[in-house]
Amino acid sequence: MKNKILIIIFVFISTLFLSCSSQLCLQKRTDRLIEKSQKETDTVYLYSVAFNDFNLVWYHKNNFIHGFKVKPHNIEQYKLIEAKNIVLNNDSINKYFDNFLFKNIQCFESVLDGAWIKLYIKNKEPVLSNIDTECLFNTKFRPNSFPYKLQYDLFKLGRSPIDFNFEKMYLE
Amino acid sequence: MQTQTLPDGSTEQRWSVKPFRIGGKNNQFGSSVSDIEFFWHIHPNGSTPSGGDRWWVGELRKYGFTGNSILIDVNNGRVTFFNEKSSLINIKYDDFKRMGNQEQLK
Repeated sequence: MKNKILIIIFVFISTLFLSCSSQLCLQKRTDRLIEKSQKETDTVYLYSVAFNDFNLVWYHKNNFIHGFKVKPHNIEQYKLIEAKNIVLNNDSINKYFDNFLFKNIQCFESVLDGAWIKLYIKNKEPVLSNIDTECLFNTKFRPNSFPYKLQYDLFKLGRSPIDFNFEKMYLE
Repeated sequence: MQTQTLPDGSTEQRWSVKPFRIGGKNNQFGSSVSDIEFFWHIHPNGSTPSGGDRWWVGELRKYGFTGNSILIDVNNGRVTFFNEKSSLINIKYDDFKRMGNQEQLK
């Protein structure tokens, strides 16, 4: 009986020390997954929407998107999604990610909260940009630009609006 | 606020605010970024600073910001001070107001 009480107390104290707030757990779990994913690929994408209790992490490898829905206490892996890895124009990353505070680029204006995308590129500092997703999915962009790729990837991951169809938008 | 319906039938809602936007003009800092003593915004639902919120602080730092970043959680009457890395301290909104009054007395 005494042993049982000791075990219960030990488990209780361990739980107290090991637990974290929902947002902190989400952040830690996301960071760990990104670190692990970077061993598989050069570029990892993190998409997040303020007030959601999950993050979306993905990368391209061998013509598939490897996608993960990260929640505070578990990670759901998407089934592999067949998709092309659109090669970006040279200037595209700089245009949408540089000069965070002062940039005035359609659909990528800097705001607090809302949706944002963070890119982890091997051997470089991560970069972040806010996204006005309503604007993103209602605008036709230059092929191989960053927003064009983002539309494609989010469409493939099922995070675009129900009435958005990437192929239809760019074939018409 | 924006709402969109996703292909799986679920809905996604997004709230955002453009800081330092006054009279339709962006980046109305008053003077330089290094002169800003604090900036604040409100979350309606009791959440902690988002990754994007913390990123903002980091970007402001690049322009000389050394002040406080404050998040007011209206739902629970709490105030969180945060920086580019994490939340620093979380206090009651009533205490926060009292702190403001003390500052005025000086």
